[in-house]
Amino acid sequence: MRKVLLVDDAAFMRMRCAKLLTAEGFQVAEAANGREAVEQYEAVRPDLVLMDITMPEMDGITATREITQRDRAANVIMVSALGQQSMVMEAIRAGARDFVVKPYEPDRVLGAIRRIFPQ
Amino acid sequence: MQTNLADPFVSAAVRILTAELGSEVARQERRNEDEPILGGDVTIMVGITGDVKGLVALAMSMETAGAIAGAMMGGPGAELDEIGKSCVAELGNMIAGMATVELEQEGYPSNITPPSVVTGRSMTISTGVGGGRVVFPLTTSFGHIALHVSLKLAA
Repeated sequence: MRKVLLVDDAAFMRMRCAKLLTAEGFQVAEAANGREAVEQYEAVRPDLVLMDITMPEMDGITATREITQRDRAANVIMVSALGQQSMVMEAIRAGARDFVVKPYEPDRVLGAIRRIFPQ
Repeated sequence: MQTNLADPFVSAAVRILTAELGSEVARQERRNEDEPILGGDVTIMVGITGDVKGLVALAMSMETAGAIAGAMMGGPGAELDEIGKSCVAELGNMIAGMATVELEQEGYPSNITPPSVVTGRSMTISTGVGGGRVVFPLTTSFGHIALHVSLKLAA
C-alpha cells in the first residue's frame, strides 16, 4: 500500500483529502505545517507528499526544498490556492513534480497522483 | 483605495463560493466604509503582501458560517468547531489565492498570509493602509457574506 503524506494547515483540507485517498487505497499520514512535514517525511518515508504552500512556522516551498535536498527521489505535489506563475516556478525549482491549484477538485488531485504513479 | 485592486477578490469570491457551495452567488451594490466595526459573528481575515498590501476579510453570521462549513463537508449545517473554522478559513485562503493570480497577471505580484478566523460581533479592525475599505455584499443560499477589501499599492 502506497503511503501519502498530507501537509496542510487546514484540518478540514487534510480530512477531505484523507477521505479521498483512503478510499483510493492509500495509507495516509498528516502534517499541519512545513516543519512537521519535514519531520514526518523522515519518520514515515512516504511515496508521495501533497503539500500546501501558505502555512505557519514553515511554508510549503521551504519544506519541499528541505525534503528534496534530503531525498532526491521524493515525489512532492503542491496543492495550493496560490497559482501565480512565479509561485509555480518556485515550487518546481524547490523540487515539486506537479502543482494543483485549489479550489480542491478530487479528479485533479487524483490525476496528478496518477501522473506520478501510472496504473 | 483603488477599487480595481478589489475586483480580483470579488470575482474570486464568486467563483470559489459557487464551486465550493454549489450555490449561485448574487452581488449587491458595493459600499465604502470607514468605521472599523466589521459586523459579523465570524470573520475570516487574510493579509495581502507584496506589490499590493492590506487586508481582505469575509464577515458572516454564525448561522451562515455553520451552514457553509456543513456544505463544504458534504453534510447539513455544522457547529463552528475547529474543523468548521478550518473550513471557512480555507474559503478565505482560496479566494485570496485565486485573486493574487489575477493581480500577478496585471503586474502586481503579491502573496497572502495564512487565514485567521475570529468570532465576535463587535470586532474592529485597523488595516494600516488607510483610505477606508470597500464592502461587497454577497448573497448565497446559505446566507449573506460581506467581503471587506482594504488594499493599496506598496510604495
